[in-house]
Amino acid sequence: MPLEPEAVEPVAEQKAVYPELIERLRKAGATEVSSLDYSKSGMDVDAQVTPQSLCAVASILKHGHFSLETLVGVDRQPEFEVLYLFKADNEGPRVKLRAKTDRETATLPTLTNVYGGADWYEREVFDMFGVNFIDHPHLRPLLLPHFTKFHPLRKDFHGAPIVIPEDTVEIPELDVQAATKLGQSTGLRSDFFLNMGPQHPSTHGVLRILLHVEGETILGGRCHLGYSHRGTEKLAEKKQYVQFLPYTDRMDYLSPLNYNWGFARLLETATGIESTPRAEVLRVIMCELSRIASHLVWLGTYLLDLGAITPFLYCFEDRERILTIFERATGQRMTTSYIVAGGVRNDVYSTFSLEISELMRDMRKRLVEYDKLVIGNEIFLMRTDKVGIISPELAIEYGVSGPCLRGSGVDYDARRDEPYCELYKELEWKVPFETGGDCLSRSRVRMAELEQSVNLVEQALLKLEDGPVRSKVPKIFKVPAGEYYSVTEGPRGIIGWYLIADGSQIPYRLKVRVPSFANLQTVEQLMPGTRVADVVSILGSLDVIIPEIDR
Amino acid sequence: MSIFDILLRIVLAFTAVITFVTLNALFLVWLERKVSAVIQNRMGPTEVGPFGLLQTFADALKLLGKEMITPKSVDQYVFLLAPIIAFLPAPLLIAAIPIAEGVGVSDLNVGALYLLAISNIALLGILMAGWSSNNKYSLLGALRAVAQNISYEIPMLLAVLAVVLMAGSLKLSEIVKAQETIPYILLQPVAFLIYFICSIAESNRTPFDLPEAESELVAGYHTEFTGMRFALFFLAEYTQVFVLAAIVTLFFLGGWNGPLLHPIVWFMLKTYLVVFVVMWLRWTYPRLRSDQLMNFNWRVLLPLAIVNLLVSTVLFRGTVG
Amino acid sequence: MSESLQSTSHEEAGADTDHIPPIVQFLPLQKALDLARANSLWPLTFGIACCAIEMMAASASRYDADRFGAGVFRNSPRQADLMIVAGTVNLKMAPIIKRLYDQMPSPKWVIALGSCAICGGPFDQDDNYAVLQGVEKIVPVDIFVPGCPPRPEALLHAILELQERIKSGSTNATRA
Repeated sequence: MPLEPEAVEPVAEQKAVYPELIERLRKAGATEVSSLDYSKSGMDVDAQVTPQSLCAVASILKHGHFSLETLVGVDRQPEFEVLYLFKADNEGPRVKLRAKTDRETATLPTLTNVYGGADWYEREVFDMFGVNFIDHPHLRPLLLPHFTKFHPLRKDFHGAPIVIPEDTVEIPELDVQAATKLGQSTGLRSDFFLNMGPQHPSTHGVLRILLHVEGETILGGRCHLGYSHRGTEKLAEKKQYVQFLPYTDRMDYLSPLNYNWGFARLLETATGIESTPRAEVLRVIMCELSRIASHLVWLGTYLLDLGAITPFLYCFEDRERILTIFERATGQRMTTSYIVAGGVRNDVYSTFSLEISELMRDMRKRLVEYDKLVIGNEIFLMRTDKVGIISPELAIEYGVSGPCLRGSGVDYDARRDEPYCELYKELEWKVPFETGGDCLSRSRVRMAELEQSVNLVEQALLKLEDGPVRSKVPKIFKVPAGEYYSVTEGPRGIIGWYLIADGSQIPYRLKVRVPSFANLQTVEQLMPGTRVADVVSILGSLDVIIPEIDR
Repeated sequence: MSIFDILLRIVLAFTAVITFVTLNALFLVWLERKVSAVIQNRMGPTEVGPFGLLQTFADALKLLGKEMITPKSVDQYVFLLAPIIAFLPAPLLIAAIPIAEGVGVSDLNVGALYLLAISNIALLGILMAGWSSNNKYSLLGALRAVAQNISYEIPMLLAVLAVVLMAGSLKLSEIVKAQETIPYILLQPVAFLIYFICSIAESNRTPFDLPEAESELVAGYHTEFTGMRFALFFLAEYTQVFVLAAIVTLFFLGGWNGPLLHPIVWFMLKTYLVVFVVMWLRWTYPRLRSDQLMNFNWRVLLPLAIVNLLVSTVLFRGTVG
Repeated sequence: MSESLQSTSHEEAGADTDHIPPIVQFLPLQKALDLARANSLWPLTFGIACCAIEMMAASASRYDADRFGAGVFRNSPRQADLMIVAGTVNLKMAPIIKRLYDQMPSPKWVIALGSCAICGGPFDQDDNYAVLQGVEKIVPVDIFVPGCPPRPEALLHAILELQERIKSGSTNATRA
């Protein structure tokens, strides 16, 4: 694996730190600190914290430049537990903090003072489990309508009648006030609120942003999510592992294969099933194609946001060619359900390699064109340069991942830094990154990634040898009791799956850590002081998928 | 001339102009869709009529038959008047444009001034539309339109002034006559560029389409307008594109001057060529941001226009009688 | 037309009691109007989930809905004729879809694209608390397009089918 030398050093350093880290966590008040086997559970350090010591322990991690990956709420019956998953840079340890609270009080201290990125995660846990986070600046329902009385992910919740609510169009006064809070630093005053979405051409789905504006200058803004919430995590607790696979397609419909792979890898981590060599190559080919398709949609829609309509159609035409290959190989254009535990579902057709190598040849030419015509366009540069700067600190605090993180100068890519596929280490490619942190840097990273993906596909095609595409998988698929975490790199960033299994065919709790969630959360920090047109530019450069966030 | 003759002339002229405005706009919309289709590797409308030529007629007829919604919270009278006022300059402008020697409704002796003055009435319509809609997107769109149009007006006038200076007349046919030997685009290339850029900005086309920036402001100032009212804005916009192309033709491309072909054919050819370029730009470029738009005008175009005017005053001092 | 929205099924919504008074009374003109309407279906730019991407694909170069006059996507509901509900409708979204539908000028049509919009699709299962069981509970639907997601050709077929129905005057909106 051609790891860059500077990337290797901190890794070795971090590995040595573990005992020290455990010691420090203990000192800060964590009880029952233990180290875990990464290859089996996907976590390195596990620490139980009391509500009183939570913030102190988290501060230790913050000083160690850990980023908050996600919060997982669990109904342990009777008490609730909230898991805080942290990750250090590159191959550093992953730390899990566990905080318990009993069912009646259901309160925990907020982590927002330490990690700003905890904001939405805590609101989600509040939504789903009814856990109150004391001193949270804006503890309002995030995904569910504001008048909802139930907490769906509690184990004693068994569905609610589907009654069309009277009104979710008006934004409650409390939420309107919250939009003004963020803008106080700009020093301007205004009573003008602009509601963007859920039906708005540039919110990429049903995102809603309440903007507080003075003229065209934005003082602050609040995102309102949940317009595409489908209760997938609750569904997971009712579905067998194999039955849940199709739902992973529908979370991020632009790169379903990457989600398939993430889920398959989770099951492989948990059960110890290994996939076959041919399947691994197919996975890399398909996922990189999927990444190309996804980035092409980003490029097209981003330019659409900036007012240029034509690139969109060219990108979609290129994407159509990839989808045609997907359709022939998997049977579906978008919802593929192709990558399963133990390999891939079926072998590919005979002209698979030929078609792809032809496509990749054309793609190279097209990428040069896109680079010249689109990314080199003067107006494009004006609209993206120095707009929406995510500093590396902000990126780490909010758990930003994927091209957005690499656009901020943090060199982390799960394909390289997580040992989830040996093939990525054998192939020759590099992780592009830029240091600007603005929309332009993110765009450039994606353009470079397109090129790298073409590289990867072309090399992987040469490695495609005959053999079985799926190893033996038991007919009745059961996962041994335990807790597992697995991470893969999607086109938007880290896709993490956290599974709590009880030994049956059905997950006890399945949580998806979606990249767009964390990426979008930064937008509230980026907006103040920009202009209305910049919001569109920033949103487009973050490349969010709303159903993935809402789940 | 008796009063009946005058009345008849007015009626005839009015009918001719309105017919031309409508047919021209319908044709331009069709052209735009076809041009965009060619640029985007598509077919564009094909099903309605030959080459989809009747597509825009279907659209227009449909818009005629649509329910006209007047939302409760709008400013009733202003809301009703806005599309009419926005459409008003369209026939007025067409009426003043000579398409060949002596062909045209009226060849005013202050034609150039008239065209520039009248075309700004549409802005009032846009402002009224944005204000009365009681919709924040409309308001933002209208404010953008006003700021943009007023700013770009200044370098545009200065560019036209350079041309008028050379021709020595405000009468359009005189200006064309002055270009019999050499069109002004060769003598006044800077003025041409300034005028072309400004007029694209004036007609709110990409890359200056901020007032109706679809991806930001939903539909801009006409967000709340339905059916025929919306169609009037549409008609006005496309007529404005035609007028801008016609003015470019008259001022810079030598009007109807040209060998072999009939003057009217020459005029139309040149005008539609300019229209095509405008469409080409629209389907190629992204959109500027409002502050960048203003900077470009006040920091680049305006100084350039002033310098151009000064230079041409010095250079062409002798040519004007 | 707006009164009809309170009804829960599209059967009732198209019932004889509430129709749009024809603007032009003559039959040939009515026919011409129907023909124009059929050939100029401007959809609302409005996607919710997966199906929205296929809707975009249907308007992109390979499938090009503009050929049939259905390629002018309008962002403002005030200028749209056709609402393509592309994706899962949940309870938080439902009132907004209803409002968008109300904001469209009649005559207007709805296509339910994909199984989620038809019946809640794979998300309407035990313990469902969020997903609406079909968009026809809130707006009258003319054409249902099955698939998860349907292919762009399916959407084009739906548009053509809708055109036929408009021409023959047998849709929810034009049934008099």
